[in-house]
Amino acid sequence: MSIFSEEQIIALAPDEGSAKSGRELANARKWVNYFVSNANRQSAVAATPEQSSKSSVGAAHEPPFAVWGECQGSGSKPYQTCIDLNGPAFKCTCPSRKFPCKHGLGLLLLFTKELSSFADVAMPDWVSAWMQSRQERQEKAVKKKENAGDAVVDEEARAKRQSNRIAKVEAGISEFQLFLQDRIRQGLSGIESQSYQYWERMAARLTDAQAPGLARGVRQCAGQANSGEGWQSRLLDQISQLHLAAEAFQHIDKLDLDLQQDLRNLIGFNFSQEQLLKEDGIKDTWQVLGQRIDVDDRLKTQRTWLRGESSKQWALVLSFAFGVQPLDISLLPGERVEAELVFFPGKFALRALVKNRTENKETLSGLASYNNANEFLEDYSRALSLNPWLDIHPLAVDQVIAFSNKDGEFCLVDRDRNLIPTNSKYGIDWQILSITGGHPFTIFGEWNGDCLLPLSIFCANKFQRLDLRLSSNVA
Amino acid sequence: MSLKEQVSTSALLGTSQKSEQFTADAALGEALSLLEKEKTRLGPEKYLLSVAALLAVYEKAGRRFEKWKAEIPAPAEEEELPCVPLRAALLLKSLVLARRDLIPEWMELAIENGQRAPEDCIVGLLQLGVENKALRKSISACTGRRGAWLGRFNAEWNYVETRTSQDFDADSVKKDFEIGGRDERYAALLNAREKNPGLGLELLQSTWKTDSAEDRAYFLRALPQGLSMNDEKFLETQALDDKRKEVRTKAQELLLSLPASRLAERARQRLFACLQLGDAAESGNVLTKFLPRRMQKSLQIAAPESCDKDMQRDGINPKGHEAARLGERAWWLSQMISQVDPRHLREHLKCSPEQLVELINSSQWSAALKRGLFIAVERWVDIELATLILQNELEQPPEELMSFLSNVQQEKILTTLLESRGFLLVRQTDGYYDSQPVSLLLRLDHSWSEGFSRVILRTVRTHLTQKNHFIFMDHIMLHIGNHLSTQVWGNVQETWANVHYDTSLEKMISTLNFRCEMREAFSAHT
Repeated sequence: MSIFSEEQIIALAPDEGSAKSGRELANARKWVNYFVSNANRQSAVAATPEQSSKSSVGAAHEPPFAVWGECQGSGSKPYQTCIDLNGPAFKCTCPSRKFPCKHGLGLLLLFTKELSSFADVAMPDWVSAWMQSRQERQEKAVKKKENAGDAVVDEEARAKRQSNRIAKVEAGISEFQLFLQDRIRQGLSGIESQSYQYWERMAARLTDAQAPGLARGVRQCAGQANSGEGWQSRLLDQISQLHLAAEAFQHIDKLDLDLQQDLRNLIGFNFSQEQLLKEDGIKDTWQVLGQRIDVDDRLKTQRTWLRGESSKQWALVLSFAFGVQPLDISLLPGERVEAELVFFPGKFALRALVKNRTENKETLSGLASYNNANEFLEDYSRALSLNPWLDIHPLAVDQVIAFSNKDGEFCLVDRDRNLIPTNSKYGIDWQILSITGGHPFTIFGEWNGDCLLPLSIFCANKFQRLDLRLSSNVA
Repeated sequence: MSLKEQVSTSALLGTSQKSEQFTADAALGEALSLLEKEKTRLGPEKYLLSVAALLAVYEKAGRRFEKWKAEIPAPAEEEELPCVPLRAALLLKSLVLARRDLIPEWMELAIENGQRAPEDCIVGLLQLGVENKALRKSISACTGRRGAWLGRFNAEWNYVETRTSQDFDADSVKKDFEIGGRDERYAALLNAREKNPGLGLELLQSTWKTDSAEDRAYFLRALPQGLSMNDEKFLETQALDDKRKEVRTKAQELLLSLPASRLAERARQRLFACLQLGDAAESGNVLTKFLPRRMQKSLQIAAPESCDKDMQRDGINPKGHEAARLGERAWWLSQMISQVDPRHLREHLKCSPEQLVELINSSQWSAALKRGLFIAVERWVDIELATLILQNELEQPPEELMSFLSNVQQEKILTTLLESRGFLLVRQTDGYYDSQPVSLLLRLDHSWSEGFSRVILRTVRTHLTQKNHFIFMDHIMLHIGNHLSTQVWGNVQETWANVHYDTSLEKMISTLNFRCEMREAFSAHT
């Protein structure tokens, strides 16, 4: 993926302001100079445009390798920005703490727009030095992984570590069960006036006990308790699910192997990704149907939903970014990619990793979907019967109509007039109404057992990703 | 109580209060009885939680959707106009984030080119029109049929719907007025006033005595619609003496706008008793014999001695002279003038607009007279007088008067001012640089004509060469950037390329270039 689309580049921006500034800087007039290098050419002498051949990118047979330029900012000397197209990775001398900064975004956007105006020259010292150190770092990391793989696995030590961990988790879970029992004995009434700290303390204990998944579940209880009318049954549902997991863990060996994996997953045991990538996966043409980004403190979680065209298999690809790291932009909703996906073990296979993929990318010309919502519910029941802890299941239905009822509430109805409850928290209902105008369309979103969170729609032969960042559609 | 409710209640109360058995039929019942067998081993708390967990998954898995039984609204109609080209659509999205002030121009360009906004931007535009009433016409045009369809679902966006003139149903309006909530009653009243003002007045009067003070003030706002002498009696006898000040003020305003009303007549008589045209010599100014003939007349003023009850009833406020920086009697005098149509005043004084302005300027009471006159001119939209005043008042032009001159007239006034004074900046006491031509210029809110644009560019160029006094202020430059004709800019763009930039001038230039690009974006053929 040497050339990026504008959409992908904007997706890298850490916030709206950077995206906007980046767009403003994607203008040749703002740059003192800019160049590309089509191969890892280094020269001892500082290159000048006259010395090297001014070939445009099309003439060279090698893919573009690095892009750099100088931009006049408010300082006395212009800022130097360079981009390693393998990644992409950015470096800039401006004092901005955002990553990538607006100069990096702007330069990359400019490169996408005006490819031919970038002269192909040898890299100057400041660019080649950075590229070199990056390469060295990457090689080191690869070596380290290989070494780790080759290292003699100290079976005893590993077994000891594992049993230590299990002991810790068991202890943590016992404590948690006592906590729950106490609470149920007293009764849940009054719990809604407890502070956040009440739950946070228990969650912290579980994190210490190396059960981060359960800890996350406990934190969600705080939200449920404060969710307003009807909180009692929501909270009870959440608590009882956690209880189920805790109880099941004590008898985990009696469970089916696959279900054991699901349980471990819920509690927070990680499955080795390296191990997984060695296995065979499902090769298919995958439709990228929707994407959602959750921000929790400084950790960004991106959930990308795919469906295989021939296999009809659903897949969820997770990627994470901490702090200022950019998220992975290799899968964008609205694309069809040929790839091999390997699935994490579990009774109901959903989470997957991309093992291999081709460069080919096409846009979707249709969404694979259920005919009506009740068909989906049957599949959903089946999935739940396999993994009772399933929290989110993808849903796509075609020929749905969106409108507003007499009380001004958003309604979504399928071709058999089934009313699908939706989560209109992010102001997407107006987006949907204005794009579809009351005409039938196909909708894709996440079903959490209670309501649908729409992520994308396919209307009038066009795929459209819904923008969940807008809290209200005020101009 | 359903099983779910039973479990929920148990959980709320706590197992220490009571410990229950749960049963059900069929498959659920079987599962529950299995659990029951474990109850002693689990203990009452875990038993309850397990039942809750079972129930939660059971309900999730067994859920079925409700059917929608009512009608489904018809979809939006096919659009007549084509959508704007892609580049223009992207531009609008970035305008929403960065340059909201250019959105009106974007819409104008779309309308000019016979195109409509892309669907995903419609909501943003409709929302813009909620606060910004002036933009509503453009927004309706740009959002097409989709916008009208959306407007049906959201009361705030209703302005888009072109109201088809329905047959006026007097009975339903009466009913709405009788039994509706405040807003419905207001809407019914307004509706009545539009079609049958007499009926509207009847409705208003029918509940006048029993309505609350807030309601009375609110409903009076519907009266300007279809206002005529038929309403005079009600206003004079009932509204003018109302307990609530808001109601009284509104009634005074309405009556003043009816020249034949008793209040207007009283206001005139009162004023004319105070103002007479006399010889300049009598004013006591010794130099008057050196004045040209036409200025040998002057105003003889007998300012009111007091502000009595009748005056107050008619809307003259006895207090407040300090805020207006006038003496007490001058303050009453100025209010009196503001209540009379300037045309009537001129008739009474038998003078032309120019003469009136001069008379006022040369009088001792000119501050009070001017203040009152400006208000009167605005109220009765006397364009001739407004133009005269603006041209003469160089010290502190009443900027509000600009707003009802036509675009051509505004530009003409500004051209004269700029040619004589340029962008002259004046240092005020609080250090803030201000300038009369500039502050008037900032009020010119339309797209400037080519001739005027050239004048502006010339003036800017002139000031570029002067180094000392002129400081380009960002907001002035931005304003120029927003309104200058893009045709003119397109022609001279090249000549400005080598000018040394300072940051505020840069703003003007980049805005102008952006607007030129925007104009081109609409004709791009994708």
